[in-house]
Amino acid sequence: MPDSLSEPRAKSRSAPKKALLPQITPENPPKSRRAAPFWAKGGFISQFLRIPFRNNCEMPHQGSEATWPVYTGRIMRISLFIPCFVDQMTPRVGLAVARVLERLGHACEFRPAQTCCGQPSFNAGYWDEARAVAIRAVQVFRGAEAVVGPSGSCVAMMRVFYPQLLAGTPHETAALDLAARTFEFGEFLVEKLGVTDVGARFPHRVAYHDGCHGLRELRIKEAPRQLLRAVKDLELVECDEPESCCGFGGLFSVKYPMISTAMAEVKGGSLARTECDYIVSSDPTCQLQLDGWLSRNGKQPRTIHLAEVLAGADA
Amino acid sequence: MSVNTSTSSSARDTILGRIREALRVSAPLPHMTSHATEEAATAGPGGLTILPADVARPWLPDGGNTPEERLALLTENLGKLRAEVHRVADHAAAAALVAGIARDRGWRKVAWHGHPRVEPLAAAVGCEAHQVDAAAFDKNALEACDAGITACDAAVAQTGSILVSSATCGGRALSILPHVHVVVVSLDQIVATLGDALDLVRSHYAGRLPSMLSFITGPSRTGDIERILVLGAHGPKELIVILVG
Amino acid sequence: MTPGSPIADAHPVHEAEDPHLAKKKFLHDAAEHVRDTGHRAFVRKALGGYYTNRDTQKARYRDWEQARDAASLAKWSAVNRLDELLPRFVATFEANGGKVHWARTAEEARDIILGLLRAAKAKAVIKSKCMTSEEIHLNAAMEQDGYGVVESDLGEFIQQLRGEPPYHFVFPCMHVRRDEISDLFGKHLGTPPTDSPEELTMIARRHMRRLYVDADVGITGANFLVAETGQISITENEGNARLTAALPRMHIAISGIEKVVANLDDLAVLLPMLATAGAGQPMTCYNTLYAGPRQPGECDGPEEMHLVLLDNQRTAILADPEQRDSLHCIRCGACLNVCPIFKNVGGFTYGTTYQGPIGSVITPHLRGLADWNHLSGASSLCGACTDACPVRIDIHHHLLHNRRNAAKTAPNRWEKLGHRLFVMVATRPWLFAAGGAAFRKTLWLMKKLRPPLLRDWLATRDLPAAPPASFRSQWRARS
Repeated sequence: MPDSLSEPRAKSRSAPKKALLPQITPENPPKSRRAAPFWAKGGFISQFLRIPFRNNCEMPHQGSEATWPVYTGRIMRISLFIPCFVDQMTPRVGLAVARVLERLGHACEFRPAQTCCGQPSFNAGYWDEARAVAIRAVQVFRGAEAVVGPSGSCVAMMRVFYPQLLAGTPHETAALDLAARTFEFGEFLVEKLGVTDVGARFPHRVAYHDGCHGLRELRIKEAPRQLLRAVKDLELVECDEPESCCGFGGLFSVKYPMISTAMAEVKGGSLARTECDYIVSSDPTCQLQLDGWLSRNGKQPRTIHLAEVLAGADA
Repeated sequence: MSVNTSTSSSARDTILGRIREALRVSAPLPHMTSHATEEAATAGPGGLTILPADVARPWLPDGGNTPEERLALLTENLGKLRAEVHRVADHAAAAALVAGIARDRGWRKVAWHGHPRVEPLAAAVGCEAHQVDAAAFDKNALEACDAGITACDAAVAQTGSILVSSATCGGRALSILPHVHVVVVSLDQIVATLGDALDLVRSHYAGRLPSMLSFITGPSRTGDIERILVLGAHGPKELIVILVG
Repeated sequence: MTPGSPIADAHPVHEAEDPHLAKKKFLHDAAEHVRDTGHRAFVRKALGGYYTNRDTQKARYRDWEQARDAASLAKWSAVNRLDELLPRFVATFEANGGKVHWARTAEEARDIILGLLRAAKAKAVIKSKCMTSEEIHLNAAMEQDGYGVVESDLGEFIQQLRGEPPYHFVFPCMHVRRDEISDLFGKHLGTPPTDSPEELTMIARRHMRRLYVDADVGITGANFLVAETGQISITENEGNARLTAALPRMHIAISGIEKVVANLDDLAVLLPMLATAGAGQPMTCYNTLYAGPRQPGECDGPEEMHLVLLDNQRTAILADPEQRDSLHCIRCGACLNVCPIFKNVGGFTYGTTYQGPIGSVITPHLRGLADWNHLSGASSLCGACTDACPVRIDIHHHLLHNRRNAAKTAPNRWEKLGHRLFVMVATRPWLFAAGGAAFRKTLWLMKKLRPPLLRDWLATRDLPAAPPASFRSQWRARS
């Protein structure tokens, strides 16, 4: 019978091992996101060991914070990244982005050589085809100080997937360089320009819909909400499925229309139950899906892009 | 054995050969959120790939730093798991407690095993008592028992788990087959975390492991019907933990 | 079909006989399932408690994200040292008195187990939940050879009586309503109807107790194989696995080769995380380590313990460094529980042993990419699975990798042509602008003509009218 088993033993761990344990102190809280902002993660191992870190959900790891531009308080020339869908179907969103940025004193440019980020082919598995489009996009935005787009999905394509798609090609460095300067609109305002109040008024009850690429590839969750909370007369509510996908998924929405629609039903239904006046989103294609379903089913709220709210669409 | 040994050994060689071949190309490290994990990983003895044993401990649920904290956590966790917890001063009090429970619940037969912490309880229980390790194991006799009384190897504050082994707790069936499991825990058996309990296993049973070690975390349960929690699926419906000391 | 009745009643689900029909069957079953809103709501409701419990338990971790790092690194280092750890595990396990059998394929595994049953002159076999046995279709093979086998896990027992595979690899009968279970028990066990989950559980409990005592062979799975100590770890809630490994005279465990972990310290991380991610518990009720058969001095336990180590294409996944991490899977089922596809199409629609996102990742490796890549296509790539995975498998990106591999090895001619055309347009801004203009001007007409794809959209969703001018032209006009 193991009485020795019941005696609390002195821990056999050696001292050096102990020292490896993160010391939890006020300066060093036990939260993983304390050390550096999300875009500056990566540590030194990936640099020395040549083992690529899996680019799971955040930025490609490529150096310390010091290599990243900090824009706060500077007048900049911002290159607009207008996704193909916005260009053709919702130009008002692109114009709203420019209006907000210009109101903050920055200059906007639009490089007309841009077309599409290539995501449709990339997500369908046709990476060779997508690569041709990506290489062009990398060249189009060469030298831009900052590239800002009103779609979490398309920005994720450029920032997260271009470096993977172009890894091992002569364009890899340029892709990483572009990734480092490409931002989603709301994220850019809050994280890069340090602005939350853009002086907008929108006297409505709204719910925010997180696009999955923005939420999980770019880790944007709080920025758009901070911006919305600062809008005058705006009431922000949350739905009961805040992190559920709307079911768009690009070609998925027409290749598997029944599943896509069922997902729209879940998310759209959840948003409709909030009895909000508008659903605010940072992804025009989520808007397409949600509006399409809401309108077909005679449900009330319609979507509006974050940029349109901030541009004072209702003013 | 009817299994053809030569097939088996060639299957082994094929599989191990495939594994070696596959691992000639290295895979990327998993994506990690923290510098701490990365740095710890590099410090491992075999290069970058191994985490030192204890590195995850500060991230897992708390196990308490002092004996008082551990006792409080254990009691709280067991309560949440819907185990019945009693605290008594000594083995005589434990025996009286179990006798009372046996009377109140109308137990006709209890099973126990030869162990200094269990014997006084079995002696005082006041109904038929079947000692599982006294003679050849009789599963039918055990099946007919209302309750099984066992000792334990450790109790884990972090999760509310009780560690039993086939070597020291009356074999494999005593703590799982009867409808009620009564377990006697001495206060000095409470450890903070699962890691601590496994350390005890490692040091105590070095080289001669019992054939079964089980972390029991609350009474048997299922959620298979409409995901609704029901206690007492196949194992004990009730877990009675008696803390002595 | 009455609302809420499981699809499976109408379509007993088994694997598509002809694998080439798998995609067709998937599309058909998905459409059927989606129409059954009552059933979808039922599954959603059944999972409701899971989210609450999981979040409560996650909050008890001092740092869940870093614990995920540690868990994923533990599995990474085990899988990437499998050449060293697997032989070490086997040596230790055999030193403890167990016997290891190696199976390259499902067929070999079945033959080994049937051989063991013959040698043991088994009459009654009891089984606890084991997905690996589902993978190798063990029950069918045993029944064919005349062995009666009873699934002892409550959910698996219900599925066995219903003649269905598990709906969800952790919650096998989460799609079945209690009144159906009551009817089922009435039919097979002759018990009176009841509306109480508790009473239904007790019916199964009473039924099963004799079977444990009478069985001569117990078959279980394994959650982890501990290389350091040669123990196999089994995680469960009901106690059925413990009884299965305690009372019969022979214990056979079946495990994939990828289940190895280096040591007990890794287990101290993985066991609680498996329970929290998979079922929202601090620990599952029984986490048991077996080191061989009954040892001298122990009063009970099986005389023999056998472990069947199964490859069945796992080494093929291992050979793909990009997706090697899918072998880290600890089968907690968290990715299914959060997956909007799973919740809307249900477990049977997949037609696979392993449902949900992780199933969609690994099934093409197990059964062929050409016939099973549609599962990787059936995802919006929302990434909820990857966020939920306690060992940080890059699940949704692997769906993308499968799509890429399928497009390379077995491209659809029309699709490829379509993407070529897209590239042609997208690399020529003038053509893009002209094509966009043409699209906008003719959208009203196309909505009437409903060409393929657009038709699929318009069947359930509206499409807004196109604006008169594109962004690029408005921008030009503005400056």
